[in-house]
Amino acid sequence: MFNTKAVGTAVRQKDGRPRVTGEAKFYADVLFPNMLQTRILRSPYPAADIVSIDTSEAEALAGVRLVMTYKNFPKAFRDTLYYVGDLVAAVVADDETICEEALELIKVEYTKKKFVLSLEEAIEPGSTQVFEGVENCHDWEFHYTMSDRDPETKLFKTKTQTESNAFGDIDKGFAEADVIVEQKGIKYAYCKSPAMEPRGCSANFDGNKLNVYTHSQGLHDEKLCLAQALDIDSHLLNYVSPYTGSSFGGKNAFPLDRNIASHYLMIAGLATLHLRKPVHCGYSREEEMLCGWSRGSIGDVKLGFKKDGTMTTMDFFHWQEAGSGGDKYPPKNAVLATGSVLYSHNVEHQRSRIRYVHTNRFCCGGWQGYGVPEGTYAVETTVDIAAYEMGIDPVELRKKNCMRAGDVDSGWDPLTYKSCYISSSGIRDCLDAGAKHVDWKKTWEHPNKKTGRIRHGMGVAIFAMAAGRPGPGNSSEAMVKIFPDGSAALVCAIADIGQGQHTVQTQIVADVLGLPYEKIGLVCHDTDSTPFATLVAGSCATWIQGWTTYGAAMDAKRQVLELAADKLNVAADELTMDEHGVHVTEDTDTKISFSDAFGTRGHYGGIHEVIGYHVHNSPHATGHKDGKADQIYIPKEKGAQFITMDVDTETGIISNVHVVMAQNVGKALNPKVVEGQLLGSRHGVENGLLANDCIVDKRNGWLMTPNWVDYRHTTAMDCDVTPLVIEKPGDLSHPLGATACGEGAACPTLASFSNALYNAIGVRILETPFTPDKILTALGKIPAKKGKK
Amino acid sequence: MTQNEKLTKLIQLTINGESRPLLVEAHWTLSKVLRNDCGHTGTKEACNEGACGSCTVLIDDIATPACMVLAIEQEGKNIETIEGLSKDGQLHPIQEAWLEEYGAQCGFCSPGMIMSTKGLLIKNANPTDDEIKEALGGNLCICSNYEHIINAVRSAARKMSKEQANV
Amino acid sequence: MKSFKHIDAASVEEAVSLLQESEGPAYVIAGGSDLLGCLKDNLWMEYPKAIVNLKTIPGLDTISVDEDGLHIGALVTLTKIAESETVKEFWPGLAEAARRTASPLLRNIGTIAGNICQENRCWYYRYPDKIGGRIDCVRKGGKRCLAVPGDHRYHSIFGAVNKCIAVNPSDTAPALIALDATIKTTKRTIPIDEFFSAGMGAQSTTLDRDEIVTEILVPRPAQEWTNAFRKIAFRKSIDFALVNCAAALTFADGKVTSARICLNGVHNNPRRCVESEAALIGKPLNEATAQEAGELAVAEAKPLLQNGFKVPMAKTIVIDTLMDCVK
Repeated sequence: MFNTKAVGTAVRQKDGRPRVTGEAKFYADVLFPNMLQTRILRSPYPAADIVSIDTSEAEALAGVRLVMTYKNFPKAFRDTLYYVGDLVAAVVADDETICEEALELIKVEYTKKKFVLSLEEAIEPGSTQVFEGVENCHDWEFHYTMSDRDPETKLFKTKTQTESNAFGDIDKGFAEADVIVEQKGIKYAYCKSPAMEPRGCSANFDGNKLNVYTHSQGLHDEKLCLAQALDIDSHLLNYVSPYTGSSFGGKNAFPLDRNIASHYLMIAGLATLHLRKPVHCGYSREEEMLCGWSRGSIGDVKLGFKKDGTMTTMDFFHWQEAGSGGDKYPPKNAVLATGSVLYSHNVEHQRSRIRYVHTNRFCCGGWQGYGVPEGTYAVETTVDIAAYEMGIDPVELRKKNCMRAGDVDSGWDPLTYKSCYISSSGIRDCLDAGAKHVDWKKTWEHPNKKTGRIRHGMGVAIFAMAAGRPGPGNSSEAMVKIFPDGSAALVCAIADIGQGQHTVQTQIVADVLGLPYEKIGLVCHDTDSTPFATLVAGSCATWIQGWTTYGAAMDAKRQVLELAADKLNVAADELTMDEHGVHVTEDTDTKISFSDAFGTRGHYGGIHEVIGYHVHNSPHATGHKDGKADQIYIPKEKGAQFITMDVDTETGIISNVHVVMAQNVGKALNPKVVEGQLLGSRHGVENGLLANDCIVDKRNGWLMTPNWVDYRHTTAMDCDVTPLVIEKPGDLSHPLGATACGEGAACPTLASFSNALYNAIGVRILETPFTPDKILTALGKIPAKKGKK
Repeated sequence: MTQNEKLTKLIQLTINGESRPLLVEAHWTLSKVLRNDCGHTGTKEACNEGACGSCTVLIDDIATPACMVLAIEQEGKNIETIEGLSKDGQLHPIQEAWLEEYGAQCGFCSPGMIMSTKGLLIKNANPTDDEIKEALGGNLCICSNYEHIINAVRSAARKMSKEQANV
Repeated sequence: MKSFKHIDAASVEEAVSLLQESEGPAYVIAGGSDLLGCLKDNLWMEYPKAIVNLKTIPGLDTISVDEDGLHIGALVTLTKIAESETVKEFWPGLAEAARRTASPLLRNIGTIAGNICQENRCWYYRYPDKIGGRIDCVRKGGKRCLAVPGDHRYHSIFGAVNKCIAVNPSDTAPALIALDATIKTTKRTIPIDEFFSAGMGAQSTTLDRDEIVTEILVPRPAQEWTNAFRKIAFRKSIDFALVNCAAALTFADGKVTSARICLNGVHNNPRRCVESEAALIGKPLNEATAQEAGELAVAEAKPLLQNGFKVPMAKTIVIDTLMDCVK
């Protein structure tokens, strides 16, 4: 194929230099002259109607240019409010101080309404409805039963819409089981997607176009969505996003849904079109904490085992908080909290049902794990309970049952039309590597052997997470330009949100073209200059964009070789391209420079750039077909994680937390980038260790933790992470043998944390975060609280 | 206070060795003035309450959260921002170390982290791992890239000691 | 942040007269990390007209030692205290309290006087104006404390002051109380035991509105003396204490001759553990006596529904801090 030089090495981050010099322009660093500022007036009530709103005094304040409410901008505002902090009005003014002063001059009269703030209350029959006349609970719309298994291929042939995802016969499975382990009410407390850079955008109308500067995970997806929401032609909107200050899925912008966190785009876009002046609308950290995507869930898990520990049956019920997301429709953004595929090797009977539950809180969306952290937490906690109950080593129980390459996937992605195989696993290798690193065999002890004030705990969990999204969203395009001077550029809007895609994609181009990595440039910053690229979500970019970039580079190379072949009078397939130009593979002296091959003659003709192009549609075209049309392999993130910790049984404080994260990445295209992704394991630790919980005042719906003092992210001092990058090359689903790697790191952390905590203190705590309060209660050091949870 | 009463003052700030006059309002923070009025947008704002360190600059060699100090109070002090680190296109050893060790993922915390690192290495040229962690205790990296960052600080300390030895 | 007038004071006398003569509410700024936080969130009933800068007053930022003890200027930063070799050697409890306060960045600007005068961190009191408007709790003229029926997991375990159950968040306050410091102000000299007095609004001390702390005097240690500080917080940096504790003891012939123990994060004001102190006098300091002192420290605790966990935590931190004092 080609030699890998850049791929597989830790070449420097492609746009690393501006990131360390301060030259990198994040959206808020682009300042237009006379740019107007925005501040938003937000609802003090979790449920209310606006009876009257008087903006006249605010409008009269010197420096105020526009006051926006549901009256003049019904696309962005409404008179019914669904959560504390919901949009009431926005002031656009010459500077932020004027905005703040003007906000105090807006007079609003509200009618307060009944509300429901917690998942537990919202699922009670007869509870207050978030959207009047609409039930709070909704089944996921894509539940299917898979059946009619082909005995030879093991693939399912039939898919029927049902009220749960299932295959096999769950009742039969439990009837046949020797051991049944059931755990109900495993609660993942409501928490927020993290990101360093707060949400926001600056919009500027340049006479022809609306230019929107913002952070992005998918410039083109978001642009098309915003154009539709603003009701302007797509060609009139240029979406600009050279850098994104981290995102983790939570900063995806879908302005069409008014409850998704993209109000800043609508406000700045509408104000700019109205005023024809640049407008900045950025969230404060408090607004960010309120309006960041959230998650929270309750899971019930029931497992069946044979005596020897072989898992045969899994039943999983998951209540997932949706907040006020969905705008009266069942929410579609929180997806698939399934742990089912984790044990696909042995589990013949499965059922899993997801219900979304509206509450009067900010909407929940799919971020960093897309439901998998919640599902893995519930399933892997229950598997751990089973291991202790059966007296089987927790690592061995997982090794016995875990997913393996070639297993049949659950096949539940709604738009993956066919049942498919898992392209690679390596979970057992990851379990071995992690166990070795923590010296599991020698140091693991049953909790009943532990004494003393400080108890050491060790826990393990495995994870698997599907890469990419189902269906057309996975399409991506790229262009590769080769210039007569022997440099090249990848033209591709794939977003680098810190996960290293700009680096990895240009590494691929360098090696396909045989050019030095340093010679490859990147055009990626806006939608006007690039073709459509996939949204980076579901850790799909190395996979989907990787195929696309590879294809575009191959196409450009083919054209250059054909030009050279013409000049050298040899067949193109006898030629090799490198940094000096093109030469005959077997005869390096027969060669031609790029400019001679192109026939470039300064300004006077010839070819000035060769452009390769590729469009890639998945899952159908991307999965490796293995010679048979109906056999698709899909990649997943997968691995195992170990956590060790010390618990102080007098104070309930956990310390010395060490995470060992082992993940099979197929081929590590850039080892440092991959390591960096694995360090993301810390995010789960925050929800375990740091009492990281969106605490809401139950009587008023106020968010009591709207800042980074009361809602905590780990510092350098709070825990250590050891990344173990496991390479098992040969994943069939990628041209370079890579597989997905990204948000998976955060998926198993709560489970392994919870399991380590149990191993330390011998009591299961089934609700995150694992606070001193819960630990001391579990240990009987303080009385359990009476009454409702 | 209404618009008419707004109190502005002409001050002289020394930023990265250059002195410049600036008309500021009393309540403007240093980070706002650096970003909006001086074009030093390398200084980031993320939490605006001193709890994340994105806006860290050096004031008289001391690492300071620029969002929590008033610009008007910084006259006569030597302010150093991320933009002042590289000289004549040559990266500072800390920046070099950051690139080598993948200290940046998204890069939003990097300017602040790098300035805190410089503040540490001015006081302590050869810090232990614990001292590095403690010195960076006010700088959050939400990408959770701390292991790479700590490697970068170690490597920067080595580079700078070597440079010092060669002088 | 909304606008205000900013005046540099050239002397403490000028600062006092600026406070007295201001047309509207006036506040002093030292390090500013607490003040700017409050102003940015617009959480007070009255927004200041004027801010008086103390950093332009010469002589308030020095540490010195004489026969009376340790003199710390009001504007000495927490970093300077934490890194002072003298403080670390003789007053390790204070050095540790300073080192564990907030984060290195905030310690670089935050001053010792600011740290003992800081406002409480109750999340109702501190609720920002940006996400639905500020909350008028009992401290801001509201009828009742919202934390009592609301979420009080980190609030007082020793009852309310003026109906408010916020806690004092300072790390250096208990250290200075254990060390029996004296606060010098523009008006008087206040023994540290009389300094803290949570009241309405921003009031957390007995200072008058036109009174400014100028120096803190920590007495010189007796021959046989130990002191220590401990803090329990979720993170090792940035966070305020769930509970913290400082202790200072003198010994003769292996027995405790005097003891000052202070818990913080448990009540509106830092809480001296007088019963624990009394129980130690005349006894050797060991696990048994420390245990007894720990239990006495929380004997009168009245935890609320959600914060019972702070009782064993407070008891344990008293024991641990005392054990740190064992020579």
